[in-house]
Amino acid sequence: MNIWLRTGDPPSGATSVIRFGRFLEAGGKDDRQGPALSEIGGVADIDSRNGDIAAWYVGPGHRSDPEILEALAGSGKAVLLDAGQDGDNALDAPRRAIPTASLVLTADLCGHDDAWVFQRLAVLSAQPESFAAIADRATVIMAAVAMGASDVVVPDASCLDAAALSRIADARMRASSTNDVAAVESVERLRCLSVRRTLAAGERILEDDLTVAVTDYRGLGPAMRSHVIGLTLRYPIEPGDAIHFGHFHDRYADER
Amino acid sequence: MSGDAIGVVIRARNEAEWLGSCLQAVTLQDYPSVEIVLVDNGSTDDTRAVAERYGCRIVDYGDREFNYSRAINIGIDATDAPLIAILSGHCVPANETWASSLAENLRDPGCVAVYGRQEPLPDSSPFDKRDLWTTFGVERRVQRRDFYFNNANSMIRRSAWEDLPFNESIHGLEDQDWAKKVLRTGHRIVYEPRASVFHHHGINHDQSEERADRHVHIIDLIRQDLT
Repeated sequence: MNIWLRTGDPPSGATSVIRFGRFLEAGGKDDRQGPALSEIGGVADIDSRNGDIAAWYVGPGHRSDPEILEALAGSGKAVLLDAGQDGDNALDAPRRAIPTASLVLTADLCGHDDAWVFQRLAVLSAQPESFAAIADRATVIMAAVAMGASDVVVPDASCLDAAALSRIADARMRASSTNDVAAVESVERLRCLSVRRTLAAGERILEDDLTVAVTDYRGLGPAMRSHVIGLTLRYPIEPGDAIHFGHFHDRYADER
Repeated sequence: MSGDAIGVVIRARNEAEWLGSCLQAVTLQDYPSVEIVLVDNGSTDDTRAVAERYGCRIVDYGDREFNYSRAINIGIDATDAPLIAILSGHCVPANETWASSLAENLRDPGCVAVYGRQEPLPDSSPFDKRDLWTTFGVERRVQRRDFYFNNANSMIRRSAWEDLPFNESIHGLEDQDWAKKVLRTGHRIVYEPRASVFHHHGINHDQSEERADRHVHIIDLIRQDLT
């Protein structure tokens, strides 16, 4: 996961599951680096400063600015877009302009109570894009990560509990990987039809040729036994191989 | 398993070599309600006879210049089934659970489409083996942004197609164009490796440079939302 800092140094205690990066506000004020982009020429500054940072933040005032969106689309950097609360239409322009892989919907959760925070996170987690929380409290940051936020935007790095955040991000990643592995293993444990002897292409499968073996998920189930007896093989098959429909000519092939 | 009826739409032109194996596998699915619609694009071999033998409803593509999207749209229009499987005439479902493995993913109301694994056969070309093995892995995947999708072996909700038919202004890769647009509505697409088919000719038709050029052009348009 990514943690975006505007100022300050990354805190200690983070593991490799967390990456830190700098962001700037497109079209907004940047007290540390100079006047607001819009005040000194707007989009031209996105090009000039693009090499200094890894992400751009777009506030609600610039969400529909076509020039800024076009410049950000060509920046090659992550775009942290304030999702606002104006309904989906407000996101139409940025969704059209910014490559999906770069777009991260963002909610400013600073200074809000817990119910409001969770309501916003629930809405964001249902969107197709990645999402991020702008947060100034360690518990809100951890809640966002636990609910699936791919990114966290932190105005003040001192509020980060990097070690705790790493544990949550790591647990989320492990849970996801475990589920995938379990799914693969469960399908590979299926029993299916196989053969007792080597059969060549062109041979017909006879009842005595068939057996049931523990092979892989592509194989025909034991209940398909009666349907394959008498079919002609298009490809050879060895004992222990799973029988699948791809092995056979169709039952009417000889008539053509 | 019980569930909504499935209409299997198969596009074909001179597919007699593989169509029988394909239809044999489709008609032996363990899913209770499967209808097959074959959209025939002027076949001159035994394609239509094979389809008739397996009880397919045959729909003529007509005299217009062939377009992949139009062929699928014609096929879907010919069935009322709520779930639409789209299958190449030279793809053979691996086993009897192909249709149910696709359909069970669509129990999730947030999922509008699912596509399955494609594997080569022993005599597929090395190019096709390489492309299929490297494209279709063994792990199930839920896609929220990645718009890769493949209509050689897929299933979609009819309701999603009614909202967004396949784009007839492009020639090929209608699957990825459609996928990108439905993902933008907040829906999900699933890659389901258990729903496996054998695809003798592969996904890139060996090494056709003309086809590659055409696909690169279309993908570029899709990436820029210009379709």
